[in-house]
Amino acid sequence: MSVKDERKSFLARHRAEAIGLAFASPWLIGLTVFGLYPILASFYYSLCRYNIVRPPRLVGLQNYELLMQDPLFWKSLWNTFYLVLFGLPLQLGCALLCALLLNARVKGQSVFRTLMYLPAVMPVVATSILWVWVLNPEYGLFNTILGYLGVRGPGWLADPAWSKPALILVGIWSLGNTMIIFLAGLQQVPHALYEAATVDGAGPWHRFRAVTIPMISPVILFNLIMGIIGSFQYFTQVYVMTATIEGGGRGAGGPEFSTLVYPLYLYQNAFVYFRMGYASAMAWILFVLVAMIIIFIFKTSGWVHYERD
Amino acid sequence: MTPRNHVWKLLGVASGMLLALALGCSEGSRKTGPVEIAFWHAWGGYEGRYLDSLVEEFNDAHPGIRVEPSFFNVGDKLLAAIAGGKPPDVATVWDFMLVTMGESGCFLPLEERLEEAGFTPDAYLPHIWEYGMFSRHKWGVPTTLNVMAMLCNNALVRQAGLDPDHPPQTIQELTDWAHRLTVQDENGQLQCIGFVPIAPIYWMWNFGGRLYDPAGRRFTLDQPENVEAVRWMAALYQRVGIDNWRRFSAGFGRLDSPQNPFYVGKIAVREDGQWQVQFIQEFAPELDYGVFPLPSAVEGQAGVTLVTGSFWVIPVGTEHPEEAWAFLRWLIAPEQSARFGARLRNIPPLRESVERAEFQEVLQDDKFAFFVELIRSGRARPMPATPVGQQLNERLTQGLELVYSGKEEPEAFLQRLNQQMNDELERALDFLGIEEELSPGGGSGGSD
Repeated sequence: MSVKDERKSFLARHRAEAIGLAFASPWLIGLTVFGLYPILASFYYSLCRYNIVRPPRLVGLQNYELLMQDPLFWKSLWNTFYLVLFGLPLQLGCALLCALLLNARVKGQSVFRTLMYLPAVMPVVATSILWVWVLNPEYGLFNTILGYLGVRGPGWLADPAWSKPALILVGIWSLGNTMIIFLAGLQQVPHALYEAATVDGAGPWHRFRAVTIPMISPVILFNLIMGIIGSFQYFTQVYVMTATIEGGGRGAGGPEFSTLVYPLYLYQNAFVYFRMGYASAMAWILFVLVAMIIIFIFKTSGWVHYERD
Repeated sequence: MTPRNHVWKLLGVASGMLLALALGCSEGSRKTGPVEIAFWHAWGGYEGRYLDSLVEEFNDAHPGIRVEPSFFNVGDKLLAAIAGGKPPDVATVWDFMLVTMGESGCFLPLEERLEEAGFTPDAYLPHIWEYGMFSRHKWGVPTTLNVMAMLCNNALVRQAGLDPDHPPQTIQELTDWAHRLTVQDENGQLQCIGFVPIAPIYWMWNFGGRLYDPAGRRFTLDQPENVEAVRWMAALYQRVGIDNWRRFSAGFGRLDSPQNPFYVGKIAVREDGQWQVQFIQEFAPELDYGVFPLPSAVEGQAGVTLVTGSFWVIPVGTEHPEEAWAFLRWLIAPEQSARFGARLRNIPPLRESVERAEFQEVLQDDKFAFFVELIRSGRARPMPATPVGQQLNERLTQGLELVYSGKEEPEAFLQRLNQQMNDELERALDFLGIEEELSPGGGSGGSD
């Protein structure tokens, strides 16, 4: 490097970086101002009593202490865990099954693919309202069909024992995005491997177990993690489907708090009861929980098989 | 021109656009002409159109002010607008939000302005001045009032061998009607529900209980009278089976449609508001129905009922408080209030409005007049005003579901809720820094 070069301004020497940063600046500024700052601020607010209008007042860990004693906090946490524990595996399984079916070379393949993906592009609010009617215990499509079979269908969303399974059912119907990622993964599996396995005498089940699953394991991991994050943030459907006619989010989460999922309770605390500090504390607990679960999954992801070049 | 120059040019354009955006946001230029008042209200349809026409009248008569009405979904949007420093100048809030938001500093206190303009406590119908008042401040003015009573489907009542001209006057009689009017088919599926209580508050009152003691600033939900009321409510649900009821009610049509379960004979007796007089005319003109007061369990005490409604507020942060008040003062004046109430079949909050010719016209309807009389005679009370009203509302209604399904005992539930609400109230008072002074109606008769 010559002396002349060194005398050049800092900007001139880092011209490329500066231009790069400048072009990235809308995003960088956006992230800092609308992403990072609110996230950090919410941690501060979680240590305060705060209702947006009044200046926050520091109360230390009081919000966290109150949460530990709040039965609805535990109830909502359990409801969300229920969806993750029972809903997510079912959803992933069904998505994989659909992807396998859609991967089969049959006539009208693209039509089937479109049909299966269609629910995923429909507006969530509209489909949720539709589902309220499909699941209606008296006049709904499901119970009418069950009635023809001589079965008195459950109360679905009106029954605390069936409301969460009903939510899971609705989730399975709209698994298009997960399915499409599985499908992409399936198409990446080299055909030669199947041929080799067939030559070695492997049947369809064995080929699936020994070739397909290991080859798409990175995709499974991806869908699992996205699914966990999605399940913990599950809000819109339950907000739409369980709110009473008065609306405004009041009454959502029933019957008997059986659909009061964690983000819904968080929302109610923040925007219905104006307990922003309390809601912020809930958000941070959720964040730490999800982070811990994801880290655990990564640590135990020995089953994931990455192809090396 | 080298490609590099292109890059800098592009960046220049981009930053110019950002700057323009920023300037646009801060509204650099100020317009001259009439002062614009943003007016957010909660009435759609014909009600909204009527309110808009009132606003036009005001605008025509006040060339210096231009009120711009717009419909909005009352909720967190208003809070965000106030917190963001760009609130509407006049807005509507539901009653249960008023104290929470008001005591948090969202609205301008109106008590002095009201008094100067002659809106004194006794200008209002009984119990209405205290409505929404927790401390000495009035954070809003009632828009119009709604009041609850009992409605019964006369045809169903006769079918069951009962006399609609002699409606139940005691809780015991109402319970008897509820049982006799309930129809279940051979499989136990409900065809018609006689009566189940919807809101707990006035039933607690009618069992002689109180929810809140304003003098001590404490909830009293666990009073034995309240426990009795909840026990009675739960028994009515349990008699038909909570699961049956949930299935049955999930099939109800919208309340503001001809499919309203009361109109189609799925509910024989129901608590409902005075707006039903108008609704039934519109959606079920053939329906033969009767109205009667809520029965009381306390001997010698006439049943009391609940008055609900919304409030006009002037949010903190408005740039034109004087013009906003000028408009609000015009809107709540006896004449406008009477006309608005008459058109909506709601009840105007001022005594004078009720007496005005514009409102007397709608009082020709006996059923509507019956509802109005409930307020006029002081038998209708508002929800106790506290800064945790919203929590109480939700916790009480949702928690009762567990009592109805037998998962929690009435007494244990009310004790737990009472403790929880008192803790909440204490923390809210501490945070909001509300001085230890009570509202004018607080110490005396306003015990709800």
